[in-house]
Amino acid sequence: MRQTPASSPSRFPSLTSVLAWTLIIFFVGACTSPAWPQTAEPLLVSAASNLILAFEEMGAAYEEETGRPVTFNFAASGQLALQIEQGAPVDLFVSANTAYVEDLAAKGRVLPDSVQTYARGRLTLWTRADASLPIETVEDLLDPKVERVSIANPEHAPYGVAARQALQTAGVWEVIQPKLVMGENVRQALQYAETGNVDAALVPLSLSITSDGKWTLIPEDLHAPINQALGVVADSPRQDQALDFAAFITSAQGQAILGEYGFAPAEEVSSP
Amino acid sequence: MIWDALLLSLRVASLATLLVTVVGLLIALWLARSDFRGRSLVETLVSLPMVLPPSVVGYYLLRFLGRGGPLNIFGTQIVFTWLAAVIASAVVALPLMFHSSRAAIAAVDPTLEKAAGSLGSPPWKVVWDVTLPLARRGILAGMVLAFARGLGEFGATLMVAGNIPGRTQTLPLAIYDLVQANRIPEANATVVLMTAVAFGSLLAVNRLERRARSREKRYA
Amino acid sequence: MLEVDIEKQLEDFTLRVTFQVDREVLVLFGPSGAGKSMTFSCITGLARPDRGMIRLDGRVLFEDDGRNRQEVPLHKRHIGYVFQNYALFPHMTVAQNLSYGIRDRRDAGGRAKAMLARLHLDGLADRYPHQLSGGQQQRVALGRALMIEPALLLLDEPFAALDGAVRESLQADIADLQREMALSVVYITHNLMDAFALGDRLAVIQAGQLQQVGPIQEVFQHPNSRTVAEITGVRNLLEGVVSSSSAEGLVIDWGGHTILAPPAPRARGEPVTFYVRPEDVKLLYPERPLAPAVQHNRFTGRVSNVMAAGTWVTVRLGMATSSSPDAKVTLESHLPMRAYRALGLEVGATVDFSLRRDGITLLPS
Repeated sequence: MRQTPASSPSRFPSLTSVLAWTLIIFFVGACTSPAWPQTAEPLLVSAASNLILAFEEMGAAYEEETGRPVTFNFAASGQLALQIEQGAPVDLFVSANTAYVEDLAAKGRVLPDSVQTYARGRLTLWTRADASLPIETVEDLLDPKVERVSIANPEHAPYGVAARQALQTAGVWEVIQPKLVMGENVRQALQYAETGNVDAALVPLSLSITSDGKWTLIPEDLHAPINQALGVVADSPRQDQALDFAAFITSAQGQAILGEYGFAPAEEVSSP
Repeated sequence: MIWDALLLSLRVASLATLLVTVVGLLIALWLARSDFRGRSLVETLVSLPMVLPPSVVGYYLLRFLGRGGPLNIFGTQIVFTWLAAVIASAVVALPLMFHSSRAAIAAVDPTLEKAAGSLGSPPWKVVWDVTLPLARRGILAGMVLAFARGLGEFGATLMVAGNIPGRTQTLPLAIYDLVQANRIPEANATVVLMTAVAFGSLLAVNRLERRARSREKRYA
Repeated sequence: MLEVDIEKQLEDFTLRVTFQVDREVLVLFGPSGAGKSMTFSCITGLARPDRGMIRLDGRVLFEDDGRNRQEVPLHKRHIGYVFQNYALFPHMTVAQNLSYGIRDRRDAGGRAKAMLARLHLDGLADRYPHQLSGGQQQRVALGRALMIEPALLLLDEPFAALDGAVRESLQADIADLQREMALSVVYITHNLMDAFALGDRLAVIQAGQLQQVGPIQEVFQHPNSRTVAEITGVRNLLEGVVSSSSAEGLVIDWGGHTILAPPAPRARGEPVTFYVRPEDVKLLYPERPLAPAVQHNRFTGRVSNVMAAGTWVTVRLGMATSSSPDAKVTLESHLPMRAYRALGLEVGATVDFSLRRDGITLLPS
């Protein structure tokens, strides 16, 4: 490089260094893990986020059995449905309700024949372990000492819908509704209760059993069954594999795993 | 899982910052030095991702980049790849970079640019020799903001890139998963890690900036 | 050689200028807003005329005849421009500023050093602009423009922010450089002293129009109109009507007073504008006999103001005319300090004075 006293004016060294830094990080990252989607990929399953624990075990068990790995994409069911509608390269959709799956089937985005209920959710009434007030039924929520109750937002969360149905069927909706705090999802609804910001929460059994609180099951006849359905995505290049995994989910082994995490089997309609 | 997420986050944020720097500077230069009727419209459009909730931004990106959308040019998908994560981070970070750069560029004395032009530098060289160096502080600040924003991007990324560990699961998404799975101690540890990374990056950039400043004499 | 013939519609008036500059210094002189800076902008390429032609050494920089337009962009015109506020790049050293425009970087450093020496700025190569004084900065700005070896140098009010001695030395340097490098130089100022210091020719511009162009002394002493006279700061500008004209001289009726001027071909009854230089307004000693030169045009006035400047004094005299009996007409007289002292005048005193006949200059009709 020419070194004359009156050399070209200094560029901005720090800016160049920063750019160099980012490029280094980028390339280091690029070298360590595969960046671009490969052709022979594992199955990609979009599953509702409240199924994380259950399906991580489900995926591990499936891989042990068949040697085929499964990758999961956990998010809210509504978001997952939107993604599939817009062409996300997902093979199987495991929702927290049935409506989203049926909707996609009607639009041809999911194979209608593959739609089936794989589990039934149960609703619980949850309070902190150190709660002074015993809250075991929805009627207990009528107590004026119960100031706030959280549920997932019924606008888009199936368990929120069930919670609202339960409160309405039990005839306590008018009194309870002003006390309601809506969580973005069931996890958030539980967090409100765990942190003491609300006195009680209506959340899925699957959340309650891994938590540190007290809970009781809400009778199933108070709400429409929280059926959870799955469906194979129509554009998937791995439909057979997807169907195989779906079969595993609905098999005795799969249902047992689901049962561990607070999901009732699909067929059963009897009360607890 | 966490290390994958960390590396991916750094990669995504870095590339998004690079992208946003180039695009943001171009738009900022264009707007700072010209006066046309649609100017405020362009400004508003660029600032939009700053005002919209990230999930809304994610939704629009999904419509745009997804099948049937106008931007789905390649046969292979952008949606659900780490590239989509880069785009999501870039879109939400762009307004920050743009505003910071634009203010800094507008503050550069136009007479200096005219002088450079009169001495034989074509417009691009004037920008490179005079405008950008003198606007350096604002530009760098914009880049830092963009990087920080890109690192923490969640809502839009989740929508358009998915939450696939090892492929598109950035640190914020990993934390989300951990919380959903009730693995709170791990979640907390990851939060601390992420804070440390963000903090460290900002600190490093600050150092670089200060060193560059002390190497040159201070000028008014 | 620079040839300019352009027209541009501006907000308040139309700019229409035509002039040439050939290896000399032309001063573009006029009040603020007259169109001086816009003319410069058009020459450099920062602004575009509506119509016209700009050529430098035969090379077309701009041409638009209403049908076709040919235009060379700013960065290709190769014109040296020195800005009013210097416009030195604050993030570059003096040496880097100087050599910014040089294409061939091979001996850029050496040439920069040579220019520094030429401009009496030795040793400042590695300084930054903010570390220099105003005068030094202006020199660097000048040097930077000259380093590209332009055929034309434009200076925009280059001395506005400088004081006396610095101003003079810079003016001297520019004059030397112009001669050495056979540059065509155009420079903008509204300060008459600056114009005299550096200019060969003067172009007086007002409201977008060139009023008079010519050698500087010529324009100053023989303004072709009242406008030019006012702009160039001519003092004692008066109006009257011709009473009679003969071989002995012109008799002017000035507001009831009679003025004898040198002979001129004017008709009786013709209105006339004239001026008399302050040096030709001679204050008279009360008891001394009148010298021949001051026989005529004797009046009485009252001292309204006295301004001393070194060895000279400017005295303002108020006198009444028929058209303004109370609102007095003011004449300026310029005389040596010692003469003023000898007269023993002070503000409010009455004094006789005479307008020297041959010092009365008529403006063209």
